[in-house]
Order: sequence, then C-alpha cells, then structure tokens
Amino acid sequence: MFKGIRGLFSNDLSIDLGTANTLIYLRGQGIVLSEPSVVAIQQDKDGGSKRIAAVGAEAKRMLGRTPGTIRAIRPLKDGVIADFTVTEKMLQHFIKKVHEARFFKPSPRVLVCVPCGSTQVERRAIRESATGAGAREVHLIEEPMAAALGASMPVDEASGSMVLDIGGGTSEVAVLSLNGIVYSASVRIGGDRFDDAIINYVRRNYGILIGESTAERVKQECGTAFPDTEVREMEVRGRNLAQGVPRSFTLNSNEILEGLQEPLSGIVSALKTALEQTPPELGADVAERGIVLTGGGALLRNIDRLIMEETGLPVVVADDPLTCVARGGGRALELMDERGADLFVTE
Amino acid sequence: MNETDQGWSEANGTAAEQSFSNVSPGERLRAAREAQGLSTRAVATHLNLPAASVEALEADDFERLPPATFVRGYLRSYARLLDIDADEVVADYEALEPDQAQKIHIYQPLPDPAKPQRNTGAWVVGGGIAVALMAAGLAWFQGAGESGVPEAVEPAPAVEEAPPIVVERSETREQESPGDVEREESPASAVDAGPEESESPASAANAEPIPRLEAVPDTSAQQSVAAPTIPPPNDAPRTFSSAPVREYSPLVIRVDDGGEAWIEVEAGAERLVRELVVGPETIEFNHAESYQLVIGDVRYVEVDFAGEAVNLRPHTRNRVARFSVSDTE
Repeated sequence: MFKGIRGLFSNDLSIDLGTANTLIYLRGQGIVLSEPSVVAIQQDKDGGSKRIAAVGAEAKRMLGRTPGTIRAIRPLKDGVIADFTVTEKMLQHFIKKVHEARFFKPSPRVLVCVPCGSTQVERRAIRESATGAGAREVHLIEEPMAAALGASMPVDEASGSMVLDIGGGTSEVAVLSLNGIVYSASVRIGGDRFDDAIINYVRRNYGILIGESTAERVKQECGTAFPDTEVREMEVRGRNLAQGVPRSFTLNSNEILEGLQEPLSGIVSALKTALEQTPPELGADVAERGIVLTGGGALLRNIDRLIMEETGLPVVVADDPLTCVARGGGRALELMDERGADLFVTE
Repeated sequence: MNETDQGWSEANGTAAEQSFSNVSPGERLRAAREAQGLSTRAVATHLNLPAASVEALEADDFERLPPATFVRGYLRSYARLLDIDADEVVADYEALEPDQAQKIHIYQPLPDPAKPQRNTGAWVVGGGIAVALMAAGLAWFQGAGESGVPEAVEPAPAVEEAPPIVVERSETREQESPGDVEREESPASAVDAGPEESESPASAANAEPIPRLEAVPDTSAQQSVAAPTIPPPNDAPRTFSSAPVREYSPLVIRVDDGGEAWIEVEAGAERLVRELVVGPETIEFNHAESYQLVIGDVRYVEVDFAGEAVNLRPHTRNRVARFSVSDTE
C-alpha cells in the first residue's frame, strides 16, 4: 500500500540491466547512471555474514584485485541473471542512487530490458529482482525493441527496420515493423567474448596471461573489426606463463583483429541468418535503408565496415550507441503512457 | 568508449577540409568527392547505398532519404570514405535540418553520482508538514508559556490568551496585580505559593520558577509563613476557596498515586488550575457554582462534585475528558 504513496514521489525509470554495464534512464532527465554491473561482496573472516563492499565502478576496479575476504562478482552473465540476490542488491543500490536525497524510499515504475533470447525463468528472475529492489511496477521490454526506439528508428511504420545490438553478454538482432518484432535472434556473444578472445590470443601467441580489465582496455584502445590503414599500438603488461613473472609487451590493432575473428564471425553469421529469415518485403526495406548498430559493441572500431562488407548492406552506427537501449526504454515508457501499457511489453 | 568518432577525426586532419566552411553537407561531400575523382556510382558501391541516395545526399534533398538516424549514418560513412571530418558534416546537417537534430540528448557522463532534480511534490508536502508542525509548536509554546508547564502527558488543547489569573483567597482579597507581572517579580515566592499547597513531586522537580496560578502579593502575611521549605504533608489537599459568601458545592479532583494527569479547571472566565498534576494529589474547589474541566489521562483521576462521584466516561475521548459541572440545578 505504501508503495503506491511512495510512487508519487518516484520517477519512472528505464533500466538497461546489462552484463557489462547497467544504465538507468530517468524519465524527463535522461541517462542518470552508467555503471559497471559489478558488486564486491565482503565476507567476515569466520565465514560469517556477507555484506556489500562496493557496487559499480568502484567494485569494477576491484575485479581480479581482491583479497580473500572480498569477492568482486558480476551478477549477470550472458544478459541474464546468474546471481539473483546480488543482482537485487545491485539494483536496489542503483535505484536508491538515482533517487538520492529523497524524503521517501523510492518506489518507481521500472521498465527493464531483457534479451530476446531469454527464457521465461530468466525473465521472471529479472522481474522479481526489480520488484525486490523496490519497484512498484515492473515492465519488461525486449532489448532490440528498446535499442531501435533509442536509435530513433521508425519502428511504428509499416516497413522493416533491422537493428543489431551488441551488448556485453549478448548480441541481439531483430527486424521490427509496426511496433512489433518480426524476427529476433540472440547470440551469447558480446563484449565479454571479445575480451576473452583477446586474452586467449595473447596467451597463445605470447605465452602471457593478461587480465579481463587489461583485455577490455586493449579492445577499446586498439581493437578493430576491419583492417584499417592506420595501425595502432599499445603496451600491455601480463604474466609470462613460462617464467611466472610479469612482462610487458606491445600489441597492435592487426593482432587484435586476428584475435577477434571468432566472436566477430559469430555475430556476422547470426546477422546473415536473420537476413535469410526476414520476410522478403521487410528484407527489401532493410536492404534499402540499412542495418543500425547499437550497444557498446558498436563502438568497436570499424565494426560497421565489417558488417557492410559481409552483408553488402548499408550499415549505420547509432548516435551514442552505448545508451540506446536505456534511452529507448525511456521512450517506450512514454509511448506506453500515450498508447497503453501493453504496447511493447513482453511477459 | 566514445573514441570511435574521435578516431575518425584524428585520422582526417587534411588541409583540404579547412577550405570548406559554411557549406551545406551535400556540397561539401560533392566537392570532396570530385576532388578525389570519384563518381557517385563508385561511392554508392562503396557504401552499399543506391546511387539515388548518394545523389540525394549531395543535393541535400533529405526528403528522399530515410529518417534522420540513417541520414546521419550515411553522412558519416560518406565523410569517412572521403577522409573528411564526419562530425563536422553531421553538425552541418543538423544545422541545416534543426528539426532532424537528435531530440534525445546525448549521453552525458555523470562525473559524480547522479543527482536528479528534487521531486518537488515531496518537498512541497514535506514543507507543508514542517510548517504545520512549527505552527502547532508555536501555538503550544505560547499556551504553555502562560501556564509555565511546557510538557504534558496528553496534548491539551491550545487555549487562547487567558485573562490575568486571580484566585481569591480568604485572607488576601487584593486583585491589583495580575499574575504574569507577579510571577516575574517574585518567582521564588511563586514556587511555594500557598501554605496549603502540597509539595507534589511535580512541583519539586520543577526547580525553576513554576508559577502557580495563584497570584500572591508579597505583602501577604502568609508568605512569610510559607517561605520555609518544610513541605506540608503530602496528603493535605490543595484547596481553592473563595470567601464564604454562600456555600457552594465542593469539587474534588483526586489524582491517584503513580499517575499524572493534565488538569484544567475554569470557573467562568477565571482559570483556577492549568497544570500537569502528579499523583497522589487531591485538589478541592468550593468557590464557584460551575466549573469547566479538562482532564487529560482520565485513568488516574476521580472527580467528585457535590459529594457525588462524576462519571467521566461519557465525556472522555482519547482519555481526555472535557465537561462542566454546575450546582445550579
């Protein structure tokens, strides 16, 4: 009962609960939170009670650098919840954070984006963790729909729009028309797999082990998905597997490109399958306009060139791709108010 | 992470682009294309776009092109192909078509924790409650300041400014000094106001000048008698009596041992008692024909009037009884 009253003093939120980053869009204000989905949990020495040591960016800095009593974990894996309780705590923390200095405990209406390949059990877990975090009403929307709305694509028209959202854990490809999803597919390949591929490449070719954070930095600074005229170089430190001591070495963008081949081809083949499955009318629309890329993965250098070459279609990277899903969720909340709550919502 | 665009612009520091300014994006692209000797068809092949779309881009004919998201993407790809600054071309496009400029504002990385605007509703309500509380507190304080009892078990109703309180005693009939003045002048004397007054725990606890309601002039002969701090027997009832002009029915209020009760007694416009009484205590009145009473926490209080016990139950609400007794009938 009090949730309803507290709801009067809370705003609508759209949450992109991603494997790598959680973004929160506060309706009427824009993106107000963008933090890594990482929680550091401290456990008392004698196996006693657990408590949250840090959440978000602070916890991410602890990843792989924690003492025995602290565990930095990522409660989401492949776009879905892997640790229910921790996800709930994390959401609680984030919701409270965006409602900072409020008189009442926040109880917002929340729209959470879910991967289109997620099962009912996984969706229910997301819904319940949002409820447990204090949401008064939880709506779920499929990520590609949110991404397309966030990229301002004309999804309400009777013409096909194709969107490829490359997130941290999953990549989603969908063809949308008339506010609905005509075809969608989800592959469990995303930014994390890119990092893993870089780690594996370095281990195979240099015999050196690097951490996840280093791999991510390498990807951001000199990763590329398509051969470029300019070759970027970067100095990296890791542990030499044979000698067991830290060593420093140089990686360049061509090496990273080689290392990323496997996950990239996975995404491209999912995209090609989607094009094959798309009804011809809509396929023609997509061919004329092109594919829109969203998600953090769209920031990988030249990924649009790669997809352009592979598919022979125009490819467009949405503006500010990282926040497309969260912004699209916010737009969906507005549209739901205008046209009814069951416009996009999935169960 | 937003390095893709920067990467493009860094790579394209050619001098050629500097010569184009205040030109439409289409013209700028066409000039760059012609400078490199490319045909529209070649560009269309590179960008996987229909040749008509490339021509429309160069002619700034955005009506023939898909929505703005796509146009921006095409312009970026085209600019990148020609090695000119993609951001500038897109900025030119947005200047040309302000309606198409991205309406949703771009990601603003939050340097410190997100601080959304305050929800005004909460503050209005909170402020309203605070003002109401302050007003109630002020009203209470003013009322309490008069009686000198700042705390009470039961919230007694706030009363209006009371007239100067004068309780007549049989010996001292003077009425020349109002109570307030008297209190300030001789607080010490006011503490032990009368000889009959019992030293109840409440009055003992209130070491600071607790003005009793009786205004006793300094000249009172009784004062010197009362001054010694020998407490009178605890069971001696307080009495409020007037000159025996005629015999009135006695009103007796008893507060049980261990109980505290807020007692207000008025006879007409005259206030006789308005204080927190700690039991055991008995207060008697016999100088008026009718009294108005407010008794907080009736659990500890018994009232007798004209020798009969008064049933408080019908007058009680939330343990506070409000009623009046009269012996006219």
